[in-house]
Amino acid sequence: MVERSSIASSISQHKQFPSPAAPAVRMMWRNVSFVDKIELHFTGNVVTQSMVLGDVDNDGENELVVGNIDGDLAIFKGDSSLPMKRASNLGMITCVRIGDIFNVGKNFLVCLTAEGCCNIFDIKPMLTEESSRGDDESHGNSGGCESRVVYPAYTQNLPANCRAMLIRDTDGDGLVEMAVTYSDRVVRRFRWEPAGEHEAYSGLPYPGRLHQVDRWQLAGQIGAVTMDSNAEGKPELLVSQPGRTYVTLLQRSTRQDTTPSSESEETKSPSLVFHPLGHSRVRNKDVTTVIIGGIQRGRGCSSTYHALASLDGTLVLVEKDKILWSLQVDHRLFVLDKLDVTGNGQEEVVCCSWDGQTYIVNHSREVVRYHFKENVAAFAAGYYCVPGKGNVPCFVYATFKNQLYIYHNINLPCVESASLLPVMEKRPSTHQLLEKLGVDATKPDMVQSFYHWTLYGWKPSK
Amino acid sequence: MESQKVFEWTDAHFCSLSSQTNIYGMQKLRTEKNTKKFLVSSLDSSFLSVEYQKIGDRVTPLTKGIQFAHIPVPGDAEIVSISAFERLPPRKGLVVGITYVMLQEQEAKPKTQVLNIYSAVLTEEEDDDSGKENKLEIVADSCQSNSLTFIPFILTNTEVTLEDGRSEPVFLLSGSDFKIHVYQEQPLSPLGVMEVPSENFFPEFQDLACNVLQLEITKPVPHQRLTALGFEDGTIRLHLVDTRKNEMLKDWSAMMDSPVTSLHFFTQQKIVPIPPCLENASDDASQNSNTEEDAASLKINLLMTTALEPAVVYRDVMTHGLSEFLSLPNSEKYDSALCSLAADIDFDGQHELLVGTYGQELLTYKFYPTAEKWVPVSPPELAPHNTLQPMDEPTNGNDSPQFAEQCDESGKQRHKSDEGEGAKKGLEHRKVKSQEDLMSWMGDRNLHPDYSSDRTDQDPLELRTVPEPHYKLLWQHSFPCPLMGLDSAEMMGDGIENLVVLTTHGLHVMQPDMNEVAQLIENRMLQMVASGPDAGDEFHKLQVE
Repeated sequence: MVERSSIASSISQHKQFPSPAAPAVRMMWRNVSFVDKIELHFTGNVVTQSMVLGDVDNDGENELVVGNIDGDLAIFKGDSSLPMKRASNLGMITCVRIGDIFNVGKNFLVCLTAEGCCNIFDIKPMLTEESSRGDDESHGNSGGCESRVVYPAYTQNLPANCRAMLIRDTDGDGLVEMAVTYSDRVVRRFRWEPAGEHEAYSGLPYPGRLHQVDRWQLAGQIGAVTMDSNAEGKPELLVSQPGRTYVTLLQRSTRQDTTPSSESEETKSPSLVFHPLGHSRVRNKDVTTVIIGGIQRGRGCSSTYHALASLDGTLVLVEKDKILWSLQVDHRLFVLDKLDVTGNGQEEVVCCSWDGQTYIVNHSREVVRYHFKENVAAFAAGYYCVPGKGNVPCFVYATFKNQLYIYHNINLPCVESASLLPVMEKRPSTHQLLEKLGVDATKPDMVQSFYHWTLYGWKPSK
Repeated sequence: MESQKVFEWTDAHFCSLSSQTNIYGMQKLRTEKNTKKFLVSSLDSSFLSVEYQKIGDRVTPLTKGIQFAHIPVPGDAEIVSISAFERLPPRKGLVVGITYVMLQEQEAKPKTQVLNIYSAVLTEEEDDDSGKENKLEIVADSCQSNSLTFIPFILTNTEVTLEDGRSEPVFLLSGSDFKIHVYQEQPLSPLGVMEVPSENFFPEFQDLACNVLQLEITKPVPHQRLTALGFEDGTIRLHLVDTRKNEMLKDWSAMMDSPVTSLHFFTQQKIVPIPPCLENASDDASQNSNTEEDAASLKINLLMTTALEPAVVYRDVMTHGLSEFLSLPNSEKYDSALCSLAADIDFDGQHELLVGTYGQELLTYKFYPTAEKWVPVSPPELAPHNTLQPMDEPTNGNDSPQFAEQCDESGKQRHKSDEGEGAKKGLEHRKVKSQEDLMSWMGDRNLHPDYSSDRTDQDPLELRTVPEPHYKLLWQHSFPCPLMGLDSAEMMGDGIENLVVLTTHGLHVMQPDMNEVAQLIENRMLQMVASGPDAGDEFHKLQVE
């Protein structure tokens, strides 16, 4: 043991897993492991905003759409490792989102590139397996891969350098808008304006153009854009700002109610509301921050929470400018999402770090972790249609090794570590029954051995 | 009967290891709060203890890294096996044994293997009732190192009876020298733990012809010991020993084609003591009256997995030795089965059999004493099927005919003790095989009892419940890594025995959905109240609620 060779020590340094520290409590959080996954091959760097889950072909089943910075776009469906549809040479894809951008009652795929090109795809549902095979056979060489390529239904040049995008009805007027954030700290809001009959947009299936409605200039770099409802239940557009703060963007259509529409006055009227939250306590005022809004608090509950996470590993849950709790981890959190993992109607906050640590946090700050043991390029939480199971909650990881992983069996009974005694305690008839059976409910040991016998030793009386 | 429900067990906690572990890398320990915790070793010389702690009415997992003294740094050595026991009263304290092999970096350096034994050394002032002598952190500090002249395999422990009638726990270590070494604590000697000749206590450990990979000991009755040995060459040996006279009463052996990877003694029925609060309830006592059925379900069975063949259950080994067996269908289909366990995972008081495979699957089998089958109406040769003799029926689950066939055709006598019965079994098998063919030919229509009446041109068939003990897959669960160990223990102190699964890269603590279990308990409590002596209006009131 004395002559410890240098080779051995160098080996130990290069070990893939770090050795545990000296006797110490390593962590108290619950961990889980997920197994069932769909593995997909997709070459090229993916950024988080260019990966999205949604029903892109309007068949009621969710697909995964992913774009890379080399201009390739792929739509994956079911457990097939081949993309259902693909497109290429689109530019440096930075944002991919799904929504009814044309306001015609169906989903379209909107793809923005760093160069500023906005491509909108109208994806037709894939033919059933048999008929598509029939097509391939009858058309001979034109079948197969060729039929999988899609071309944009509409293309328009917009300002360049977009970073994040949201396609939602941002102002509550019943029409869907597109909010885009840019790396020059600007947020723009676009709306689709269908062409009038006299205008000539010949040949296009959806004549019209995207028209800028709003523009906001912010002080700091924008991490993410999201929506929440305000105190009156009206939709609000929120963007995150460095140092775990966020800004509410007041939209023109809502501002018009109170201010005269003359342009000079409008520029003076405030268009932003800054929420400092715990900014004074944040150590690094410039830390990159992401935000997610509209976190459902439960079935039949109209108000929602929003959450912010920063790269220094802090996660906070916010309700109406008030921090409900904050959570500190020692991993770099870079994506924030929400998903009802337990199926109880409450949406959990899902947060992923660069090194694959995924935190699922419920509203009472209970955490369960999953470690995806690879570095993560992009992460998404949402619903994906798995054959035979329908749309199920899932986590999608894009790695730096040209692989995508869809984990689709991630349902957990609960977030916290559950044990039987508290669960029984909550049932209304437990005490009465225990009393009847002569079990002293105040003595946990006695109750425990009674439950143990009830589960393993009891036999139905004949 | 309650409707059969399959509980879906999920991760209550997963604890990741710093490097991979092996099939000898897990040991169950007792915590101060009388729950169980697990000590897990990984090859790179790190050790973790995993337990649950109570904070208020919540439980949270607690994982501690344990630094055992005199274990070489990662990369210099690989941990082979761990084991631990608690001294019997009046002595107290935890004793942990760890074996490792030093890795050979240079050719010149001799390969060394070491058994380290840890136990707490307490001064007189410290020797109070604080339970310090059971704390892993304290135990890990004082070490006694024994170098070994052989490569260690499984390290386990059991109790032996000394000449003066006292019992004493000992470590058993199987070695590459085809021996099982016995290490006994010498309380009066400064040497601490010493190797003692194995023939002093274990006459069954003589004349081993191969490496022992698995070793399982149980005590069916006082002063008797049942020892099962699983060898690398596929031999399995079973010995019944009188521990007072130290002599062998019976022994059996059988031969498989691949190394024995796990052995487990179990009874069909789970034995659970009645809690003190229910002892005087009259009706509960009557439930435990020993019927014949109960007696049969308390017979000792042996579950064995091997690397290549399906897992096998030797039934009632005290009576039949290794001649009566059932196989677990398709348990060989997921790479080698490496670990096994008998545990009740659906809360019916019966043990299910769990098999963990290198193919990352956990397979759970349930025992069925009878099978529903389409049989020709009373042909004379099938008459024995209708007489109720489940224990003596040599056949067979769905898969075992195949097994028996192999047994016959390979020419290799798998079950030496079974020589006379081999031919008989072959006949039996052919009969069953023909039945099965019939079944597969009939396909789905088996489900329609009317179908037999349509087949007037051939022998009429009828659906009958025939006594045919067999195992059927109840539940299957996938893991992210190959499975290395299985255990079940009450870790949370709530009455439910958690399933503990060791994979190459971590320890999974599993539990069923608590709300489902709570519902089950509530239903059973209602039934208990209903059948209780003063059942009456109040029960109906409760039911209405």
